[in-house]
Order: sequence, then C-alpha cells, then structure tokens
Amino acid sequence: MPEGRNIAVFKLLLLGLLVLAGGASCSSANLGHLDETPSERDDMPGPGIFADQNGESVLTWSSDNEQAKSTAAEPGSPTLDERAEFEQFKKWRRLKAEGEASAEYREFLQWLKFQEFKAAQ
Amino acid sequence: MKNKLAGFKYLPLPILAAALPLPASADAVEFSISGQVSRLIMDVDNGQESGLVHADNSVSGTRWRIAGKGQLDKGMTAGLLYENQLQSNPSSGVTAASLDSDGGGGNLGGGDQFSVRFANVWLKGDIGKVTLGQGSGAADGIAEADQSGTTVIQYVGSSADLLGSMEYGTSGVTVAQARSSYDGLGRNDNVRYDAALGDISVAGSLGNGDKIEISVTYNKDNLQLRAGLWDANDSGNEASGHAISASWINDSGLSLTGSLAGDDSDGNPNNIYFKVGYRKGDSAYGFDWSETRDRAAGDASSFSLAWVLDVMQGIQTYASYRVESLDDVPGEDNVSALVGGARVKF
Repeated sequence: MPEGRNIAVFKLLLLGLLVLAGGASCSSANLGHLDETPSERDDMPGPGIFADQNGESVLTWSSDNEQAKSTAAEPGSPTLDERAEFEQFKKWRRLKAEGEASAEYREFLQWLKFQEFKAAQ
Repeated sequence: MKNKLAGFKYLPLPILAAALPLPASADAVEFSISGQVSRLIMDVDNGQESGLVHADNSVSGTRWRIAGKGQLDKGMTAGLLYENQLQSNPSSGVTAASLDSDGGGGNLGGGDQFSVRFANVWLKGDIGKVTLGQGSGAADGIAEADQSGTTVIQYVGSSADLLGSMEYGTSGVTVAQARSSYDGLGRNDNVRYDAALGDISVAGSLGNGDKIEISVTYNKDNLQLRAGLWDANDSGNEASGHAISASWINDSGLSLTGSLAGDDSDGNPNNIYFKVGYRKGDSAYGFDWSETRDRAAGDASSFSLAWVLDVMQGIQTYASYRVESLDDVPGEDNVSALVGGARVKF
C-alpha cells in the first residue's frame, strides 16, 4: 500500500474515533466498559506478597483511610458468617483480577462500604 | 511527510478537551507502590559456546511502579503512572562471547540496565480515557493475545527477550536481528485515547516522530481478539505495520493462541506464531512454535516448552526449554536454552 494512502487511512480511522468521542460527550452516553486488564506477562494476576488478608497492598495510601477507620465495625458487631465471607472474598479477588475499573467491581466496593456502615450502626 | 500530517496532529486536543470536560475537585486520592523481581538461570548453547548464566528475565523484567488515582466529580477519575525497569544482566543482552567470562559484578552480557517504562497522566470518564506521556502506543500488545498462563517465560516475543543477543553459531546473525513479533511501536511518548463500544475497545495514539497507532480489541468470556495498524512515519525504521492475534481458552483449561504480524520495511518481514496451552490447578503448560520471515539473512524459527507454577500468592516459578533456528546462512547453528526462574510480585 502506498505510504500516502496509509496515512490517509490512519487519519480517517483516528478521526472516526475522535468524532465518536465528541459525539458521545454531547449526548452524555456511556460507550461501554473500557477493558484495562493488564496482561499476565506484564503484571502477575492477583495480589502481591505484601498484601493483607483482604488482598489489599500495605504499600497503598488512601485519603479514605481515616474515614474507613471511623466507620469500621466495633468488636462484637454483627458480621457475615464465615462461609459467606469466604464467598465474598473469592468474588472480590476474581473481580479485582478481571478489571479493577469495571462497574461491577466499583459497585462491589460500594457494597463493602455499606456492610461496614451497617456494622457500625 | 511532516507536511502531510501538519495540522492533523493537533486535531485531537480540542476534540478531546470538548469530549472530556474537566471536573472541579477530587473526593478521594489513592497511591500505591508495586512491582516485581524477576530472575532466571539459563543453560545456553549456540553450537560454539555454552554456559550457565544468571539473568533478569526480559520477558517481564524486574520493575517497580507508583500508581495514583483520584475520584473526581461527574464520575470521572484522574491518575498517574510512573514505572521503572531496573535489570541486572537482562536476558536479552546475554551474548555468546560472555558465556566464557566469569560475569564478575553481575556484568555478564547486558550489565545493569535502567529504563522508564511509563511516565504518564490520564483522565477517564464514561466516554473514554485520555493518556498523556510515556506509555504504550495504541498498538502495543496487539500481537500478544495469550491466555495460556505461561507468558512469563513463553509468548510471541520470547525469542528476542530471552536470547536476543545470542548469535546463531558463527553466522554473524543474532536472534534479535532475525526474530520479531512486530507488536506495534511499543512504548513511546504519545497522547492516547481509549474508548469502549460494548465489549469492543478501540484506541488511537499519536507519538513523537508522527507515530500513529490504532487498535481494536475484544475480550469477553473465553476469547481475546486484537488487531492493530501503525505507521512509524519519521521515527525508527519509518515502516508501517499490522498485527492480529487471538487466544481462546475452554472451560477445561485448554487454550489455543495465534498471532500474525509484519511491516513494510525492506523485504516485508512478517512473523507467525502458534501456541497450545493447558491450565490445571496452579500449573500452566505450553508448547509454541513461530517463524519470522525476511527480517534478516535467512528465515528464523523457534519452538519451546514451558511449565509455570503459581507457588503461592504473588510468587510464580517456571521451567522452559527453547530452540532457536536460522536457515540458509553460512555458519548458522541452533541456539538452545534450558531455563528456570521465578517472579515475585510485591
């Protein structure tokens, strides 16, 4: 393929993407789930060796930490039974491995926060 | 060339600015440090020299990163990614001549290598993601769809990553000169846009030297499909290229993976790759074969066997045997390697 035609094709395709983005912006449309799962070659799936029992890395700093402490369950608060907790943990690991940015994973994090909130009542 | 693209390369900025209106403030910010140490031992033989070498696995090298993100108004997220690769004696730099040396100070072959893999900022909303800085071009990884579970030691680009500086006998041709996966333009300084249309993701990037890359990926259930085009324009070998790859895994753990890619540089070189994999429990097994044609004097091919074991959370070990061959070049001989190693994620 001649070089000039190559460039024209690239221009057309990229322009199409950008027009799509602009159009979606005007209509406030959600185009779909952006798949950002890293390749297993670049980043081994699952938590690293320093992760805690919940699979969270201790090498993480979050401005939500203080808030999380304040809403943490008091000792003796009602909690899920062990089997249910285990099932939820497995689901959490799967969702995290499949795509941290997925809507389902974000919703699950919200569910966890809700559980913390309920336990603190 | 520059005149043809003049004006166009600035086009994304106003459109993207309109597409992604900046929100006012961040509600929550999170930073994390992570990375891996990735080491191997290889028994290498090129028909002339042989020896045991300790090296950093360039398939997935020793690296660390800091990633940050903040939740903004209107459901938007902004973030940054900075990642360095720091290798002591990368496997891709091990030479036949160095197999005779004692490798004092870890400087056998490639010595100590440092590189910046990622240094970018990004903004993401419902209509897509814009990334600015050093990072993967839109076609990076397009030739590498692979669900076998053995990619830490066996994937479409393993030949150059593991044995790139090894010479086929006394042919004067090294593995990296004869082999390539033609996987886009790799990581470069660029502005990149990603969007999703249902289960299909599309991406485009513009980099220095007027690099242009475009890709489409599909990832759902047991199937990965990737396709991409690129034009290096005024950078590198100024070639344009294409790649397509696919990987399918069934519920029993059996996987099939293939890749076809090439560019329009001298000789129109291309690469074909095929792999059969099997995952069971914590183990993954793979057999692959590939051939690069018309890249250097003579066509080059390889096959390999691999076993990867997930020992525990964050720790993988592996073993592999690989043979690289070159045809129709005087003095050529096979390059073989028996490899064992581990990758530890933190």
